[in-house]
Amino acid sequence: MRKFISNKTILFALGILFVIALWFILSLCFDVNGGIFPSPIATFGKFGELLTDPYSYACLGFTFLRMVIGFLISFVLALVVGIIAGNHQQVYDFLKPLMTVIKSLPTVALVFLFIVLAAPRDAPIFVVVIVCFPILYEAVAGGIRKVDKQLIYSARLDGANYFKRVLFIKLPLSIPYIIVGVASSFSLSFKLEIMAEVLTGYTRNGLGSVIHYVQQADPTNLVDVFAYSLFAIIFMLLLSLLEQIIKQKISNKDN
Amino acid sequence: MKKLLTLIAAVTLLTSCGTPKASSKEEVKEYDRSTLSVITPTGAPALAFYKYANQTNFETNANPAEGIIPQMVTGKKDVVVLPTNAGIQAIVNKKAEYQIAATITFGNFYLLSMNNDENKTLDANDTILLFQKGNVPDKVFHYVYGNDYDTNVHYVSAVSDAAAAVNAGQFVDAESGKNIVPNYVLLAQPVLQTVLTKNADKGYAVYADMQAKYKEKSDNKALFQASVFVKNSVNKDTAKAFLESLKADINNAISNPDVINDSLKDVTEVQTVYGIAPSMATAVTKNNNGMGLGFEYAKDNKAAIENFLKLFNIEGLNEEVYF
Repeated sequence: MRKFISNKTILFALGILFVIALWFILSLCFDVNGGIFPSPIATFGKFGELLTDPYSYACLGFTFLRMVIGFLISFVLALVVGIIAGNHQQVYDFLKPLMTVIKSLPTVALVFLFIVLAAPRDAPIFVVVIVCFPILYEAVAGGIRKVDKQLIYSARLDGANYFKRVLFIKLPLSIPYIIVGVASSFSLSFKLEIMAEVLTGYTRNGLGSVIHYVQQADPTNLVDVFAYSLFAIIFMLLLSLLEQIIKQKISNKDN
Repeated sequence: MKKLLTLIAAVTLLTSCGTPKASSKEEVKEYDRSTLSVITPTGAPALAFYKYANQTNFETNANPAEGIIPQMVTGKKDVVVLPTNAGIQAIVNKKAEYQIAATITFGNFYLLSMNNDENKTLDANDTILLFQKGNVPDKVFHYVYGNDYDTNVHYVSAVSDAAAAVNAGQFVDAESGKNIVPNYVLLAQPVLQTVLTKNADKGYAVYADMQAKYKEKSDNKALFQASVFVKNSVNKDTAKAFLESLKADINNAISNPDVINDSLKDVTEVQTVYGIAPSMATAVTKNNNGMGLGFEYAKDNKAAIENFLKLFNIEGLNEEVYF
């Protein structure tokens, strides 16, 4: 029994069943006409239709593409600024107020700002950049700052210059922190992208655009909204599964 | 010599016979739809651009207040479509460098009776549900019916919420938090069509065509609802060609609504871009031009435009506002 309970796959499957059961109960409690809080059955029915519709994949693809663009810009910026701040306490202290401001900015205000500065089409990309940047920056700078000082001192004694110490010692040793930052901000950026697409009112391909449309078309029937959301959730689950597999392969290779 | 003169005269005559054809071709200059960048709200105004679906310079937005007005103020698009009042306010108050060129939608508002009013007549005892407080639908309702019914007037934020209230048979009042059953609900096409189809067995019916009522009250001046604004820096000839092309497209859609469906049916993202299914748009347009499409140059209809703008306390427009 203990072996059964500690089996990761079984626990994961049980977790999924729990979520579906909870969803079913909530739907029974709050639904009015089959659409206000759709049941898993209604949602999976519509989800099946979405799976066979190429348009769903186009929406998903464009949303993911825009998110990846935003995330990559954010990551590169965070890497550059994070490395500098991680190595120089003065820069870290100087940037602290800015990072606090960026972190505290309401996302909705950012969306409206970027609609004006850029365009509804591009605003979600900038939102992803701004929201993910402080998280990734903290991961990079924090990781570098946590590297053992003795190790750096020894490298210095061995003649390693500044760039060598950063590139071959500090950065590799801070990778676990960076991975944590990337993992936590990646799924967040996907959610942000969809939300920003809804708020900007942009109507071309995108999960946010289509969710907005189906909600506007019939606000009393949220089956389509739930189905598109499920589409996004399953996509992210598949991505995290892929990430797990890659991690496992890397650790197997190391062993 | 005489023969030569006759020959020259014949050649000249033949040449001159051919000339008018060539010049008329020049006059009816074909507008290339990829020339000017255009942004329009989804719904009725977007439908006027049914021939632009595949143009990369054509964009629609589902949240005009947040998505379009800032683009007009910052001059990002050559052509902007907005509710007439919103566009004029952007020009007057925000110094947006645009001119009003033409109006392309003339109202798509209808007051729906929920078939639960005993005397079947709108009066002060009836519960009325409107949407977009302070905006066009609200202003038009009050222009037509005055303020006598205000004690029982309630609001929801969007037409989709008004439709939701009709479908549910009730709505939650934002102020009191109570569930209220409306007797009359203001709706806009194409939502009205969807609602009537969905509730076909409930006896709901159109109580009033608001644009017709508006016209009655305004000495036959139409409701100049959504207009085309052209950026000042756009070449005048190009703008004129664009407007003539748009006029032809709109008139074509009114006389033969099937062209909307034919032009849009194969566009994959048509419903999100236009905010309406092409078949529905065609059906509503066939139903007495329910979307209120049309084309009137602004400069020729100043009185009607200014009558509409009075609803928003905008008066004394400068001549330079007109294209």
